Amino acid sequence: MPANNSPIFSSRGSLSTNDGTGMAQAVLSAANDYTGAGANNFLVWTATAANGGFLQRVRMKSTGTNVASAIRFFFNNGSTPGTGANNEFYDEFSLPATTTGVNSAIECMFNLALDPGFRLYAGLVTAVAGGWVCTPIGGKYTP
Amino acid sequence: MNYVLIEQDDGLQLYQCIRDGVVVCYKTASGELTEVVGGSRVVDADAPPPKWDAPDPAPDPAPPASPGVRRVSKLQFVALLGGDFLKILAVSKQNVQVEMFVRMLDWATPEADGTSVDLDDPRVVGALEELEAYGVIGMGRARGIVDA
Repeated sequence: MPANNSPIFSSRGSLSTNDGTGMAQAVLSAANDYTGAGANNFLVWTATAANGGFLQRVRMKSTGTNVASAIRFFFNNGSTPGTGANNEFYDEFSLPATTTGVNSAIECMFNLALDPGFRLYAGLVTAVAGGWVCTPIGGKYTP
Repeated sequence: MNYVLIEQDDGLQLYQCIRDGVVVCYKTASGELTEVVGGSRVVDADAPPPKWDAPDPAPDPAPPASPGVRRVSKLQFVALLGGDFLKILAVSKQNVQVEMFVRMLDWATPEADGTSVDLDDPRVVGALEELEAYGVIGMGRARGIVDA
């Protein structure tokens, strides 16, 4: 864990879902829960295990025709998300109905430093046909 | 109404009932209102309308156009009478019925649009026809005034 440098800046970008090379894929299924334990909740971002990281925002882009839905975000402590006690419901954002045309992105702001190994999960409230891609925009802290 | 067929994680299939891109309710295959329990996924994004589908209610019809009401203000009515108004005033000094016509015109309360006289009101038409019958106004003037 880095020392409490003030201010502290992330030294590397972190756009993957798993603090590695995992890229976000379109999500269609709904989890529709408030615990984050449902199987249809998906991994959005992982703070680097050694030093933690900074999550600035999550950018949502539709990939087709969708009914209006919403997305719920949960922080996870690094243990299995299937156990509700390992998760924390953080926030939810409305997602508009979309078409196959050009749709505006939905920016979900976080601006939070996450503990090493902590993760962000998310789940749709309503199942959609076209899907949403959920791109995290963050950074890694290094010693 | 559009429909998307979804399947819950427990295998139960439901219809998303969609209007203008928004899910307004969920219904079972038999058409009963229900709620989604747990996770779900889309099975058919363009499902054919189920047999219990009812056509969307037609939009409210436009209110029927109100029949044309021919109303004028007091001064407009006096203008329609033209020179006959002086004759009417003169006769009203001796004839109570004619005086009553003048006074009724005077007492009429203006509507919000400023008009006071309905040219199709039987009282107006009848009064003008009586004035015509008594010779206060010329023959044919009653119809000429209300049809102006």
